[in-house]
Amino acid sequence: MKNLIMADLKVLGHRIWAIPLNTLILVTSMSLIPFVNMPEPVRNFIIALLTPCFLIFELLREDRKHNSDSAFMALPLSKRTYVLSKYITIAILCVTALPVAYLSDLIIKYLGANLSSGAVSFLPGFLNSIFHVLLISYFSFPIYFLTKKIKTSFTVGVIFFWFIIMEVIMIIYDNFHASFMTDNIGNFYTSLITVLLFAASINLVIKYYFRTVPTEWIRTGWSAAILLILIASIELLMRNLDHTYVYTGLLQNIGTHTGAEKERLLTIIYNYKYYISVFSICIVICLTALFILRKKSVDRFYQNCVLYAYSPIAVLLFYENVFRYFIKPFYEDVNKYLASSLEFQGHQYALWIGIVLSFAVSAKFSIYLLKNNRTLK
Amino acid sequence: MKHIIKSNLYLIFWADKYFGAAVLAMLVAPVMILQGHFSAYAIGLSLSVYFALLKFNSTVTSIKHDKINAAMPVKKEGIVTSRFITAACIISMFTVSAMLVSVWANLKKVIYESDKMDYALRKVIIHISTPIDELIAGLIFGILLSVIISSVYLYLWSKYEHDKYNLYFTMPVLIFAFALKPLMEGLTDAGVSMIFVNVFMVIVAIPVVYFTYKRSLEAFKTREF
Repeated sequence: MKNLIMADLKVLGHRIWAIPLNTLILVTSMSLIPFVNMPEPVRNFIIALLTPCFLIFELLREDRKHNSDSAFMALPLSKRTYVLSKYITIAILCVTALPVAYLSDLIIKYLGANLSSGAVSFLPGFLNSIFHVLLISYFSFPIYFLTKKIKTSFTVGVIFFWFIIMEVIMIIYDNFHASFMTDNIGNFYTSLITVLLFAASINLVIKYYFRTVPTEWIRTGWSAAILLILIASIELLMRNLDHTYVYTGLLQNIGTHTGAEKERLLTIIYNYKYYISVFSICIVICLTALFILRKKSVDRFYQNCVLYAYSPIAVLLFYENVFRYFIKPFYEDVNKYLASSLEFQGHQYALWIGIVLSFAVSAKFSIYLLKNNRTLK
Repeated sequence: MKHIIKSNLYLIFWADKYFGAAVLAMLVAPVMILQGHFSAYAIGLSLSVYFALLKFNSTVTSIKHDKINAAMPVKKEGIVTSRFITAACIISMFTVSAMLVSVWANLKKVIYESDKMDYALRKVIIHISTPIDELIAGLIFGILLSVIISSVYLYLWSKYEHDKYNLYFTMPVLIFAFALKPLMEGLTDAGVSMIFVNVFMVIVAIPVVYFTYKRSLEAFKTREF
């Protein structure tokens, strides 16, 4: 593996230092132009986006030019080692942006043109930027390992990022949102029925009009719909559990209220138990349905692809919700983090978890796709 | 000439299935990310025009189009001129697309406008609206910047081999495109009118196009294929 990584770095040649250096010079000089109001996060974002992207693009271009990936596949080398070596190289290339960002920060601070907000926010800001770059590459690299086409993989990667991450999260936030305090579980039920009816109608149309469509595809469609409901249910369960303190507070103080107010608060207390039960049951049903679908299917390739495609959303939810529960005992100002995430020092731990998780899942996805690549490119 | 331009446009947009979607994303994404700030249209326009030219260059280079053209009864001046006209066509097409994106962005705001929830991500997606005067200023700036970038790129293409300039020209273009928002924000904060900025850009763009065109003709004439 070490030799593969060294070979990749050698292929890049002088570009390994020329690209970061050029980025440093260009971004720093751009920041010094009069009227340019370029704060540290913007600078970090440009550096974190462009330096690794150029290096990775050049590496993949060289690979395609010399057809080196096909040569590697002919060697006594496992696909897992090949993919992991590529991911480690990509991680090294991403790290090259860190000294560039730090140097640019130092130079600008020294020249006093645009004062930085300090070393505390530097690392989280930088990590935040690179996290978004990695989220896009989450889809791009597996598609690249499957198709071996740079432009196709990055275009499809961005489109996948757009539709799966942004739009699915928007669908969950817009339509499934239900909180025991606002008593709006109707939203959840309506969206649940809509998704199931939509999936069922597509199933019927395919069954009666396009009979040649394989049953595995239909099962994959159902898996996608159920996964959406599962993610929404987990998200809602976490959001409602996050407000448990309201429930416990009401339980303690309910005796002090009377009349209509007491009635309303009792409804909220009842709702808490009801909502948590509904979401938990929904999670259990979804998991059972997914398990049955997987058991029934002969070829799980498409279902696994859907599962991997939804993983970034799971990573994001983990990053947003679970992190709060782990961090809460150590940081009292966790609620402040929610208001302004970049200023919160513990934010970087969550970013590290997010980066490592998404990178690991993406690598696993790439290995899976490469092993299932029946064209043997 | 007409056929060369048609062929060029075919090479850019039809030769690759996903390119249209990618360019559209380049126009839409800055508008979404910058929440409708007027610089988003300038960034989107210049990025999409530049990537269309990159695509054009890579397709021409990979299929050895230059050699084919050199073997045909076509004047070298005609090839260079057609490339400049193709760039003009691309800029005008993307300007229309950017206008449509602005309409879409403002419609999306109307559709999603509600105070039902208070999530950070939701705010990023929804609150997009660009006043018409800012939109026009952003578009004019974007057009002029795209004109300058494409002229210089076409000159480099005419003069040098593909590997010598592509990477190192792409870097400043992208960094400058990303720095456009801070630049335009800084200019408006300092009270500099966008009219003056755009007039300055016109003053720069006209000689740049004239000289790069002349130099490109000379450079391409002396090249062997």
